[in-house]
Amino acid sequence: MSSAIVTVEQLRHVYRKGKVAVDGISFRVQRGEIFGLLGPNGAGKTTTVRMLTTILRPASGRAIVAGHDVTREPLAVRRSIVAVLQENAVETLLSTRDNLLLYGYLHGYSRADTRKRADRAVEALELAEHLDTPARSLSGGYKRRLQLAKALMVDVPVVFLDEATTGMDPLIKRRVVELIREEAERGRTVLLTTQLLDEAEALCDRMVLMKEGRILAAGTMAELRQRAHKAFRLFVRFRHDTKEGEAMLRTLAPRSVKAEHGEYEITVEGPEDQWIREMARISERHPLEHLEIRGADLEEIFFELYGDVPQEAHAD
Amino acid sequence: MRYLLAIAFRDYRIRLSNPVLPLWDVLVPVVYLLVFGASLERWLGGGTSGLDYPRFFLGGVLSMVSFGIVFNSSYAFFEDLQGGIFHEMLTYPFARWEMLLGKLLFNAAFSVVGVFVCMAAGGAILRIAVPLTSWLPVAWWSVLGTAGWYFLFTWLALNLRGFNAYHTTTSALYLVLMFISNLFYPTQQLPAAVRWIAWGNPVTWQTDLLRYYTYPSAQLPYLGRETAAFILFVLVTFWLANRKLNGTIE
Repeated sequence: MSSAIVTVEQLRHVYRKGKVAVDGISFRVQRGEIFGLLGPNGAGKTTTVRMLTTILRPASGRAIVAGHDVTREPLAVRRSIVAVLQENAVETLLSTRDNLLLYGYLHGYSRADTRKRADRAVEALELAEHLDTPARSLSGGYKRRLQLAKALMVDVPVVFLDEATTGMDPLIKRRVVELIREEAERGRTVLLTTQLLDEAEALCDRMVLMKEGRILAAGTMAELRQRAHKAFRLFVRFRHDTKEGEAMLRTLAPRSVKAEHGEYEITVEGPEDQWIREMARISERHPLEHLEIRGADLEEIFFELYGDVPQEAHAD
Repeated sequence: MRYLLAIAFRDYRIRLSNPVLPLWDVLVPVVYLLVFGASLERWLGGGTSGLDYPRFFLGGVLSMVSFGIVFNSSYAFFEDLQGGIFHEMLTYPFARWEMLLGKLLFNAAFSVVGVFVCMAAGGAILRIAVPLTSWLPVAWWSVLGTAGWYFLFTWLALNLRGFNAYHTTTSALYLVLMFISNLFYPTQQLPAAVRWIAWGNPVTWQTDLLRYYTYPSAQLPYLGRETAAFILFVLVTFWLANRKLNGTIE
């Protein structure tokens, strides 16, 4: 029996002006999984999340969330989900504390229960210093924290996070990543969209890569690597760092070369054994101290599938 | 019910975060009543025209309370849309009709306060006392009027989306609905074309319903039809707003 908690079949959405935002996508998310929707701006990630969270009606296709059809049983879907949307959706006129309390009441919790949940969320997201600050005075990063804190207050099986860590500083981002992992370990399913490839690579059990409303590739990181089998990263350190050594690496026509503290990281395309032979040849003239060959990371997979890497992918 | 109360509480907190705005909503109709009521009465000859103008105008001002509160609060609705909180609320665990009624609840309660303040001010300053037995029906028709206008403005906001388009449309509507009606003056003397528009205006229907309780000697020959039309107006606007909220909101 399938343990899919989100099932998407041939889902499509067309905006009023005729723009096809999502064009017949299908995927499944298993219970307790952290699942990523990746892609550059305009790929259709947010529209997909909006359909799954019942904000938008699909033009065609089907989506089941926590056993409920998003079109036929939208209320049952909403009772099974919590969503942090892309915008900084906070009550700007209210304080951080009042935002959290209001969120609890709007999710049907009693006053006492809401206070307990809010206290836990404040501690988890380190918001104590800003409890009485009006939300309009919070920085973008703090607004995102507040949104995540709201999501942590609610016990539901599926959590949607749309660009949840945008604008956060690296330390709190690491904390958020840990929190998302903890939520998944507690059995909650997390479906997140991001343009930050390192974040997706670190967090997601499985992911789909989207472009112009379609899915280009889907699977675990290992499965995606197989799709990008042509790309390898070579980490090279010469025994004696010389310009000639670097020049020889450049004769391999790499896709990219990075040099730092005498170590070169080059990305190349072609069969792996070809690169082993090439490096052996270079080593005869310029002995190597260190050589490591790694499969593609998400950035290379992106490059291979999209021909480019989204600007925001490097924001971290 | 807990969701309705939570949504109403939310609107209460947001609106009351700037106490000047709600105060404005309540005070403006009172000022209209006192200034227009007193000055036009004097201009019309202190009742020699056969029209007790302050009493006549009280029904219009009570109608203005519902309309004004909704008109002003609809801009907050737009801020929610642009800030993203509106879309987030669409993912909360309640039905769209609950969202509509919850948001109406605060406005409706506020309109009751508004009409009670107006009637109290009218009684105390202009000596146009409304019998206490009429206060409850006045509150009821004010709530229903607030509902109709709230649903209509919600539907407009969701369809127009752009703030400029919304502002232009509602400002034009404001002029037509407020001034081509029986709110300020009796419609019988108006040119025929304008009179027909006024008779088809829900502001006229609501004003006559309120006038029935505040100006017992007023001539209201179409009250039965106006009551039916007004209830239909509220039901149709609710259906439109709920349908729009349940559909796609881009």
